[in-house]
Amino acid sequence: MTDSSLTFLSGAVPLLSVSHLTVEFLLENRPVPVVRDIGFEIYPGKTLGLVGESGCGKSMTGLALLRLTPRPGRVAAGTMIYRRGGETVDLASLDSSGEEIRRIRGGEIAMIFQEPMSALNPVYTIGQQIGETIRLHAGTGRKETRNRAIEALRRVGVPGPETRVDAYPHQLSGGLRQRAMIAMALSCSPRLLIADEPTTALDVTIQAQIVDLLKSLQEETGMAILMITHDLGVMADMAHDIAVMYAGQIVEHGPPEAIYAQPRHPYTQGLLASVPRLAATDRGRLSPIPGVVPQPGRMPEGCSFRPRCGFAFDPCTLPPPLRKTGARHHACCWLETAPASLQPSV
Amino acid sequence: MLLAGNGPRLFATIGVTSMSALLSVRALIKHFPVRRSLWRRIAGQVRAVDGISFDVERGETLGLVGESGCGKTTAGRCIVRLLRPSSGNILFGDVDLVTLTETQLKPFRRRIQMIFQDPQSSLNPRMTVGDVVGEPLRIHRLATGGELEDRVAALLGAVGLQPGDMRRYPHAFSGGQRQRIGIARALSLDPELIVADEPVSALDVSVQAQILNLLAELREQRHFSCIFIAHNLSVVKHVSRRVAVMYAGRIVESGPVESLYARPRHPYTEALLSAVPVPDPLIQKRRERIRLQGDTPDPAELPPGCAFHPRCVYAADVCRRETPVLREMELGVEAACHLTDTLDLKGVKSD
Repeated sequence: MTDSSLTFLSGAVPLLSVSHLTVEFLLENRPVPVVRDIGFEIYPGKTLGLVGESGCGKSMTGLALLRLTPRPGRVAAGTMIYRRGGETVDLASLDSSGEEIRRIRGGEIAMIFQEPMSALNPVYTIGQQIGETIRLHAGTGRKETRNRAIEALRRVGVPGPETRVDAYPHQLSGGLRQRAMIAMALSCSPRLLIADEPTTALDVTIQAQIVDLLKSLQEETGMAILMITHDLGVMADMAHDIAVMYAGQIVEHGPPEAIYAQPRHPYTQGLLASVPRLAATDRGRLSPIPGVVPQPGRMPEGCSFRPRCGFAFDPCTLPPPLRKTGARHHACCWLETAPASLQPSV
Repeated sequence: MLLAGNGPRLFATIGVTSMSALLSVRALIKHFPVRRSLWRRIAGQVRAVDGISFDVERGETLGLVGESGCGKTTAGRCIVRLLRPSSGNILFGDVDLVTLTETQLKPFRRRIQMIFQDPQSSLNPRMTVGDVVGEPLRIHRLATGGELEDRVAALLGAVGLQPGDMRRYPHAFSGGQRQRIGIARALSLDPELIVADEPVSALDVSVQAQILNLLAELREQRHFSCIFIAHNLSVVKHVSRRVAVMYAGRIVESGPVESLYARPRHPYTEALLSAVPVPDPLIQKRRERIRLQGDTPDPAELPPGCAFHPRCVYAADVCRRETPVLREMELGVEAACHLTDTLDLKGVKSD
């Protein structure tokens, strides 16, 4: 990938421009990359979807934006230009425990996680936890903080917020816990919300409620969302742009209409074929992608998807370039340069 | 077939009682006491499973669907007798498993096995994969030494793992591989019935598809019957021939997959179908959807009348007063809804 900075929408100014982002872990003094030279842009009021299997580097990308990469990992290269008013900040250049990033973290860029039970502190009430964020970033007093916490819960549709504010996490259902976590994330009106698999642990009915909630909150506040999920159904509902990640790289990106109707990369095609469909008529076999995501540090030569790919041919032993395959649609696959006879049927 | 005298129409059965049924569950109830106060007095009952009946025929897969807390897992655990039912009958062949003592149960434990949702917590981290998969064979004294090892190796092969994996520990495997280990263990005694409790919901889509295909393959080879418990209707459609939808401890609708998906008879089924996201932005963004508000009711304090009425968009007065019973709508299709005859519920059109 030479220039991995991708422009999804022309005209608008992105809130965040990431380019050449690389995240490495030092294992036995050997750097092992888990995110490899990726780039994307996130626009105000829009949702960028990051799709891929577990272990593809999706969550690591989200954490890198907040400079929360766990040790012994670090942001090894790249820029993450965050625009605020007239000024720009390169998040990659900030001290990961410094004043500046701590002001941004939770205040301007917030994150929600897959498992609210482990992300919430079990010994504090919901109100105390939402209040902590508010006090930290808005410097409000006790009474005002509590009122704001109640208001935040009401906004995310928690019934009876005046009493629920004093509940402990274990007293809430999975759906309500997720709402409480969203309330906490939104309590300081962030400009970017990083949502890491926010619906994966939930029932389909509650999942639909949370997706609706995120969409209506986005409409109301104009915040940008980076939606991380492996669920292509949820993604279809939310994303304005989609980037497909595999083995630490973005292998395809573009508008959802193109990604779903004409996926170019065999990995994207494989993901789509794996999804069981409600409307399927024959109860036959699904078409899974064989094998598993390679371990970081044990990447195959050339295209990382090659060992699992049904279309692999000679050129795939070299890393494929990112090519434009349509309007705003790019894919990173040698088939894009191969003769038509070798092209995968879509 | 012996049907205990529990007022036969109070708990309607699913479908026609068939002579080839491997398992017949009748009026199964599991209540958990809620104890409060210093003296641990029983203060109430959590009605986790509240009178369900169904049959599983030989070689058939029955899908048991519903949200978390609807009692589907409790029902599954009663059937494998990890839990002792409060009342009801679980007829396996001619024997009622509910009445058996632990010792009497032992031969039946071989014939009914369970696959769990979370392959992380259901495998003992201190046992090698060989021990995990071979343990049932050892407990039932079916194989020892070299023969045990051979059978474990064959089982691992059947689920797509390597015989060499026998000496490794569960933590060295991915989620999908761990689920394969759980399946190999369940298969080790060549059971006639497998209760699979959300076996794929913790997995990535691609791995989920691998496991679903594996289960289908194994079923064809080994002809076991299966109760497939899940909350995702699109997954259930791929594996089952018949589906029973549970809500608040009861079955609210049941029928063959095709008719239940195309023409749901209970508003809850309609809402569940509507909630499954379609992986196509053009359809998904245009689709008219029913949004269920709120959560499933607390099974210790069920609402009066139809337990679904607080979340039902069609609810009328009668729904708040009277509890609906399962009625046969057409051959093999049953629903428990007062209004079902007047509603034209939306299903899913097949491709």
